Amino acid sequence: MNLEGSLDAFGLADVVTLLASTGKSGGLLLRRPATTGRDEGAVWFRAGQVCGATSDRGRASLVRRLVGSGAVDDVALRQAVSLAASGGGGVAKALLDAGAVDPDLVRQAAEDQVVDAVFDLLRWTEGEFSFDPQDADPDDVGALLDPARVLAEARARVEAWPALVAVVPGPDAIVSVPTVLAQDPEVSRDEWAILSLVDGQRRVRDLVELTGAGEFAVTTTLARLVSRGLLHVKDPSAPDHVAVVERRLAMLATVERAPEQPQTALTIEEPPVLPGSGGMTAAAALAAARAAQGLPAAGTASASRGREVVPPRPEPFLPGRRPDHPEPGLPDRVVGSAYSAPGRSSTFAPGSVPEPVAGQMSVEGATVRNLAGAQPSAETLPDAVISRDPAVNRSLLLRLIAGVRGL
Amino acid sequence: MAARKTRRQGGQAVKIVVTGPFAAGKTTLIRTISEITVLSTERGITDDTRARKAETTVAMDFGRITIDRDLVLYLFGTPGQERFDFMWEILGEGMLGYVLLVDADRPETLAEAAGILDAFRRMAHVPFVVAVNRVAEVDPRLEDRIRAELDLAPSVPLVACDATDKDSVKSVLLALLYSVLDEIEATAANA
Repeated sequence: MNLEGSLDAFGLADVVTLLASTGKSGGLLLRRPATTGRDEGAVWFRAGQVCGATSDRGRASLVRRLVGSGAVDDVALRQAVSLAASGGGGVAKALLDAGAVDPDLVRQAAEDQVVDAVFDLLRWTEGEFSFDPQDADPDDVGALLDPARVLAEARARVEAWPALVAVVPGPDAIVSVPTVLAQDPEVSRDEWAILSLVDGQRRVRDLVELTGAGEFAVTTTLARLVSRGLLHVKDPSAPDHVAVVERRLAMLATVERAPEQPQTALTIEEPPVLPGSGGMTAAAALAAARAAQGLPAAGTASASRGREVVPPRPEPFLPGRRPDHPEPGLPDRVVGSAYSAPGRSSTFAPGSVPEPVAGQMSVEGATVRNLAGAQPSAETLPDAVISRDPAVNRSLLLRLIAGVRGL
Repeated sequence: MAARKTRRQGGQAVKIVVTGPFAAGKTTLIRTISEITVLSTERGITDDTRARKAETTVAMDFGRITIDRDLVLYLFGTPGQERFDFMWEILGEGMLGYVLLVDADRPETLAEAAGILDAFRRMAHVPFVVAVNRVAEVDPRLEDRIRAELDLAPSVPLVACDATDKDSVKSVLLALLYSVLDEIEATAANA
């Protein structure tokens, strides 16, 4: 004759105590009217000891716990799922048998799973139970727990639960991280593991799923964090903090300038006055520097770009004086970057520097073939090992300059 | 060696190399301006250079500046000791230009800087600027000495720099970017 009955007539704790005292093996199956989707649970016994439990038989609760803890990789899990699907066993057991997870970790997870499940089942206020001596836990990983201890721990949780629910209302509550803290936060690693998953959208039940740590453990941690002000339970009717800030910032639009667009920086402010330049702007200083070296002030590529499209230079980069040394060792050198472009008189020692040949561009220390592929003259330095990315163009440089200026 | 584009998925990345003598402040400069925690491969020093600093960069420093959604500027710092100069060419490949950082407090390192600059000039025909670290302004005598020892043309920007100050580092980068811009425009005008 099967052992079966109603939970409101014969409580779960009593049934468990009975099965433990008689040294039974098999599965105590519990069902309740379909209300929450988690309506079938089980507690498995081996020789009167509890070897497994779940409050939701439709789910692989133990392996979910392992996955949530990060103890399982994709390959091992895929293989274990395949094995379990074809052989009818549990995924956690397949992982353990394959040596893919630490046995001690699995057993600890199994013990936590048992207590969590019994805690859940103890809170069922109605339902039926039946004992099947043939039923076995598909994920029996060898854990054996004293039923009295399991019940004691589960009861303690049930007693603590109302206080937790007063702080974290339930599995559908949403928690969020406050923008401002009263003091510097201190969190444990377990708390951090939960905090890292809080995004202001996930419900408590989502966090339970993601961590695999069980509803009681997760809610306890959340309640601690809420009590210390590190989390808020989100009030759906309260305005979102970010939305409030954005709305208020939008009010400033009438008194603020629109931000510069790096790619279309066509309008820029007046060039800054340079320190030590006697009130000259960068452009004026640059012009003076050009004049001092006999360079044309306009009609060149640099001049043609105009100040409307090129951000002003923060300082004059050309030296205001000519160096005393004549650089006699570099007769083939063509000095100057833009300021010594072909066609410009860029020499500081007249007669000592040859004009670059057409088809070449000049940079300090070398003469470089231009992008059109003109051949270097015999006077150029040897070919460089490295040349610049040909994708670099003027537009890109303007974006870079605007970007760096805006840092 | 052909220039290699450094492209990220859906965007473009450009590279600036920061080089200079040992303990010139290259790592500090990159850390000051980078938006990410700089990947710096530093090791303790066991030889006689330990007197200058306790650790040195043995491979590279790596910093990032996001210009906009599609453009990122990377900063690569070269190791400052000669025995790691095999890294220079690797780091320099495809660079936009480079910053030669020298220490104003240690003019005796200018010879080392000249050697590095010579190697870079032979390695890459790209614009560069000389940043003089640890000064607010470059004294004319110091400038003369630097230009003479590094064999710099007057057109090469020489910028005073405080590697610990973000605005100062920005000025250095802008000096280089304007030099590159000038070179590109000169090339276009000549084409």
